Amino acid sequence: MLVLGACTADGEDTGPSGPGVLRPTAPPVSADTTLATEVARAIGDTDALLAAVVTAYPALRPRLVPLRRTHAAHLRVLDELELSAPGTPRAPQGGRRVALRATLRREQVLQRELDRACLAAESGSLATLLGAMSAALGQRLAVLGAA
Amino acid sequence: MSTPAGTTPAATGHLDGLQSALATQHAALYVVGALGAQTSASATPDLFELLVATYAEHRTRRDELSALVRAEGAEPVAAETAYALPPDLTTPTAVTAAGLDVQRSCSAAWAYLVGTSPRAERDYALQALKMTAVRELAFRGTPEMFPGTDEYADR
Repeated sequence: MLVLGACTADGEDTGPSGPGVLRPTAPPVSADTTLATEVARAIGDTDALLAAVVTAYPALRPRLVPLRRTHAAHLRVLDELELSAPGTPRAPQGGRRVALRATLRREQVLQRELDRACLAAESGSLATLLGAMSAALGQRLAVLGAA
Repeated sequence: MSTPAGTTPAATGHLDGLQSALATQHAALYVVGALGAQTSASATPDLFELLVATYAEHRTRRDELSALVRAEGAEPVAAETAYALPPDLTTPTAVTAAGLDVQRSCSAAWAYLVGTSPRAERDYALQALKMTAVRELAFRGTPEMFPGTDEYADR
């Protein structure tokens, strides 16, 4: 006999209320939750690349650390989501200039991802948040001469 | 300038967002025009050119928003007779700061419109928000974490 209990939002175990009771263990995931999770993962992946580049090319730190701060602020807003751990990309080979170009291209890809998510969001408040995140990246890219 | 700060985008309609953005563009046109009048094209050509380009952009946005409001079957909100100007516009620094305030107000209006627009019509506001956020930098603004919305500013 399979008996599954469920947890409430505050973690209290409600336990089975009778033999053979089968209850869902997690609420249905909305499209916006999936979207936000994808965005958070994309930010995490992009930031992992930045971390690798900054480690490999410390001279780029002053230019790229503000971008990492922007990523961190964006992730904090999404921090209630369970994120998969970002990979550990290696910094591009070929020198500082190549690494910077690759990093900025990745940021542009992330901005397009934010735009796509903004346009796909069902809730207006999530759309506003994602649009503001995209605009923030646009500002950072403009400062870095990549807009 | 009137901004839609403090409102909840999801709780209001697309038309409200359009009208708020239009009202902000009316105010921006007035203020940027006044800033241009205070700016010397010979002494500060870069600032003058920035204001001319910014004025043209606001005029275009005003016309586009008016058309979008009409397309919704409503009458576009009219401009006020006058708007409050900063008390001191005697230096390029003051003019630049006032220009930055205008752009930030516009960013807030665009962010609001992003939230009130249906998905199929959201891209217009998103592109305008991104463009305006970058223009803030031309007025010596610094990059923000969430341009156009201060709801998350303390994160």
